[in-house]
Amino acid sequence: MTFCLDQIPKKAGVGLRHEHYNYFLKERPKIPWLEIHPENYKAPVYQKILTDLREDYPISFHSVGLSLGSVEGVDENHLQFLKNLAKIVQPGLISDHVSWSINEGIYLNDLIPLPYTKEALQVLSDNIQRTQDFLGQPILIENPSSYLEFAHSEMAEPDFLNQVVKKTGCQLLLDVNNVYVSASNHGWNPQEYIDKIPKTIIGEIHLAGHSKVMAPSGKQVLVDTHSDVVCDDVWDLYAYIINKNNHIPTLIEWDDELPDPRILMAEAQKAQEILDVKNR
Amino acid sequence: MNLASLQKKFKDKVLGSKILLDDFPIIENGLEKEHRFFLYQNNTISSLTDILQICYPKTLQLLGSNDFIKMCHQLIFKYPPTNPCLSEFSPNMKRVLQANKQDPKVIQVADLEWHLIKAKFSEPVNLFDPSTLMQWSENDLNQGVFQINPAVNIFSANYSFHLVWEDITNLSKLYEEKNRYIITSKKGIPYFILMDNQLEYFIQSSLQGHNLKKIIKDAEGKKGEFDLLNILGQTINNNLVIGCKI
Repeated sequence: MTFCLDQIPKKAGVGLRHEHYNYFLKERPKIPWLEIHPENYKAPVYQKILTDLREDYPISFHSVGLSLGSVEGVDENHLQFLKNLAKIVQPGLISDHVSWSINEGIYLNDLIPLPYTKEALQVLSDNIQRTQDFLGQPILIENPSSYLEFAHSEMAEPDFLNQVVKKTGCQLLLDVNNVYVSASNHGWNPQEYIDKIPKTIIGEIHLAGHSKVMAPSGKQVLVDTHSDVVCDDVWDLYAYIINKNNHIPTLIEWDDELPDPRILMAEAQKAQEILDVKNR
Repeated sequence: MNLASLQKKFKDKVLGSKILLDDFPIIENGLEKEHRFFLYQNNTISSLTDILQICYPKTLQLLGSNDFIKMCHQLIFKYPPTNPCLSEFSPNMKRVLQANKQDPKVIQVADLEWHLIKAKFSEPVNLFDPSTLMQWSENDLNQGVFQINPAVNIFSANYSFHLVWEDITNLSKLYEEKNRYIITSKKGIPYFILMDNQLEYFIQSSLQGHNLKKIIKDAEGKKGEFDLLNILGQTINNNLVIGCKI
């Protein structure tokens, strides 16, 4: 069984959040596509909102609950939930993260990083393959934002991602804000990171805002809060990526301290203008 | 450290275990391991606390922010979520409040708030269209069994919540009184109504699969006249029934 793989246009869309339901249901703004966290749609009342909006918008699933990096494997109940919801909504893309959240049956509600070891590579690849086999289609995996690195990692993050994609046939959801946040927190060069990612594996791009916090040591840490506009440095990185690549579906993520939806639309418009420059 | 061991220790430490990070293979690079780790623990705790604030707004009001957050932290550490679909997180505020010997009124407010949330997330999509009954013959109507909305649940209360729920800013407005409420949800908005004997009888009989003829017949032996039209009006208007089958 496959879903509608070609539905998501190579344009700029926005994430749909609870606080903006009324706006989208009433106004039906001209936005090419929407993305949701399927975990927020277990209740029938919310599924109805989704099927209603699906009449006018292609929708992609950005899951946060598969815990693809868990040594315990992927939970079959959650896979079944995703599959059932996908039958109703027919998402154009399905994605989750290079991270883990579940251990001994407990869900931590955060995306915890993996060490980049051969062991983690195998665990992640096995879980991705199981997910793809169950859903009957390839998925996308998102690069993490991280606040710590593991000393026993055997390779750099972009190399790890490339190997996962090669092993499983999945694609990469390149979160440009995550690249920027992780690079800032660990002293990487974000452009060098991006240069290591082959353009053929990028299936979607995320753009989002972040926050700055000061640690007691005086060191500044960037936190991936998704609670602000995209910063100029991230826009520059995005333009760099689009200049090197073909058009890629791009999503504006905003999950916390949500603004007026028109601000979200304005962010999507900025992304679209960068995509349109490439087109000329 | 192998991946299984790392994930277990990390999870245990997020949930409050006093594990030292000395042997965790975390690169410090200008920021201590504990501070790097804290960012993840804080994300988990604060995001789950935000969800609890949405589930328990009146409990929050009654306890005040500081005490409510303390209860949330205890809840998260003792009863962490087991499902990434967080609509099921968490029924355990009542247990945490009981363990902390909070005021029984606050405990029952929390319990009622959870029942309301449960109703909201169980609400089926389609409202019952009573005009469909107009097409039935009298005989069909008598044989009909009303389907009770799966979101409906019955709550036994020790206090007069129906009198003060909208304005429950202080506990002195609540007085002791045993009541039974029927909890329902309509168009995504959960609420409760005071349940009298007739309404309860109709709901319980329908849940047992009794058809309308039997419900009316059995009501004849009961105290007070069974006002079927009033009962049907209440159940349909409050989304307590979602259909009728022969």
